[in-house]
Amino acid sequence: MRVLSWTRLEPVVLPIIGALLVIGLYGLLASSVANPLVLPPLGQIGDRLVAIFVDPTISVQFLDTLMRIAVGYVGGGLIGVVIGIAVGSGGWARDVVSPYLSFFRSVAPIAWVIPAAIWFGVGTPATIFVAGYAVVFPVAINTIAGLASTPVNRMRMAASAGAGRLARLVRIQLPSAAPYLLTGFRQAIAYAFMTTVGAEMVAATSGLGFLIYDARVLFDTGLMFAGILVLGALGYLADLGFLGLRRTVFRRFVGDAR
Amino acid sequence: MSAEVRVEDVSYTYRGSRVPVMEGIDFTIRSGEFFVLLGPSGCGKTTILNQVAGFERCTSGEITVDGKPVTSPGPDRTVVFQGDDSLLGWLTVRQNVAFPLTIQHLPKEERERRVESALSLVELSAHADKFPHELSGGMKQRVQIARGLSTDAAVLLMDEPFGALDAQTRSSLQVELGEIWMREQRTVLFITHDIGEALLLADRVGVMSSGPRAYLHDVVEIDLPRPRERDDAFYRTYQRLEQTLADAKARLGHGPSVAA
Repeated sequence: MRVLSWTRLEPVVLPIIGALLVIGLYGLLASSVANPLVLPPLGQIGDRLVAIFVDPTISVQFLDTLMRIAVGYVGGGLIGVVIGIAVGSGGWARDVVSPYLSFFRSVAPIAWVIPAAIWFGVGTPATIFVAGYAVVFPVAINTIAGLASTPVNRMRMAASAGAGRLARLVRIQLPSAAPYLLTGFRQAIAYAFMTTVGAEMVAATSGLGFLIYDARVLFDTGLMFAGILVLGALGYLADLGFLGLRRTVFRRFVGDAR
Repeated sequence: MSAEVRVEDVSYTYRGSRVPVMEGIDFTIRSGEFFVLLGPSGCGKTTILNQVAGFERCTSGEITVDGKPVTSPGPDRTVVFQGDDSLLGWLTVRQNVAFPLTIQHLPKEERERRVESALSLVELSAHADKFPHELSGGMKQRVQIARGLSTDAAVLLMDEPFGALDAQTRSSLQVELGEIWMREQRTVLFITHDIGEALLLADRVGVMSSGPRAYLHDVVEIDLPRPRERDDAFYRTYQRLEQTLADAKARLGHGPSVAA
């Protein structure tokens, strides 16, 4: 049967074997250390993992985090694209805005969490602000690079056809920059995850970050680990989904990456 | 659909440089004429084409199309670029050819009619739904030609359009272009450094000297019958033009480009 040929199964089977191996090794390590505060046993992590999804008081935390990441990501992404276009399409905006871009880019997003909490309120607003802040920069900077990389002959061709500035931006530059934008948005996923969780530890009373941080009070290392596992898995899935989009919806733009 | 192109006493100096790339370039392309600019690399022939297209401004002198001074790019002039990077990779061949017409807001039926006829003129109808990256180099250049022909542009500007192609594709496209031009009779400005290509296509050949301070050495009338064939008369003309080009490169009777 060709369906079950090894070359087809390999990419699925090998990672599973790898994962089982890692879990097995951890189990061995945990039982030899025999201190659930340092390395909780597999069973305890499994319990907490189930609880995150099943126990309504905990799954609320999970959903809170998801919502904050999503809003911060979309909002920050839109602002990033707008800033990227303003700076990248030349003209006066570049001279005015780009110094600020360099300035704010080197400030760690998490540094804004307390000011954001003061301005917008503790919890969800502050967290979303910080996540959005982290997303703006990779998106804006990649948008600028993408616009700049548009082949000059494409712009000339469009100008000869009678296309004005706006038409050239929308019909030539942005599609030409699409591979760069996708790269920026992909980087930004990880940034949104990291900053959201960080902000939740400092300035929120809900969310996975809060959960992980709060677990210290109960000495519940298993819950911490379960939270970390969920975050990693979410990030992984988001990246997979993103690659899927890249291969389907945006395929014709990416295949053009020259 | 053709227009007279006048290049009047045009000079060009790069900003910050004191030696002009070229100076005193003066010629007129008659309406409907196939005019070839031939010259060694670095003589500024692409710069002249870019100025006619409106992409670059002359330092001094003036360029007019049917009497109107050129100040910017516009739909009366269409360009076939040397490489294929002006093709839009996210659009099909058909959509690429339709691009200028879409920009110009032509009604759908008119647009479709023109695109199909341009595609069949360059024999690409069978490939209309492919994307540029699925095409060979020669096919990509034909897409560019079709894109130019689909518009009303009276002037077709071609900057070494076959320069990057292999010899065989190149010569078959030269023949095709000659046939298309005979049917369409638009004004063409064609840049090349290939003497054979110039002879196959041109009504007249402007021969430029080497630069800097390049000048128009001579304008040679090519009175070979069309369609052009590589016969004895062709090769006699070839040798004459070869000599003219050699003289132009050596700046014969004009002295060195930079005073010692």
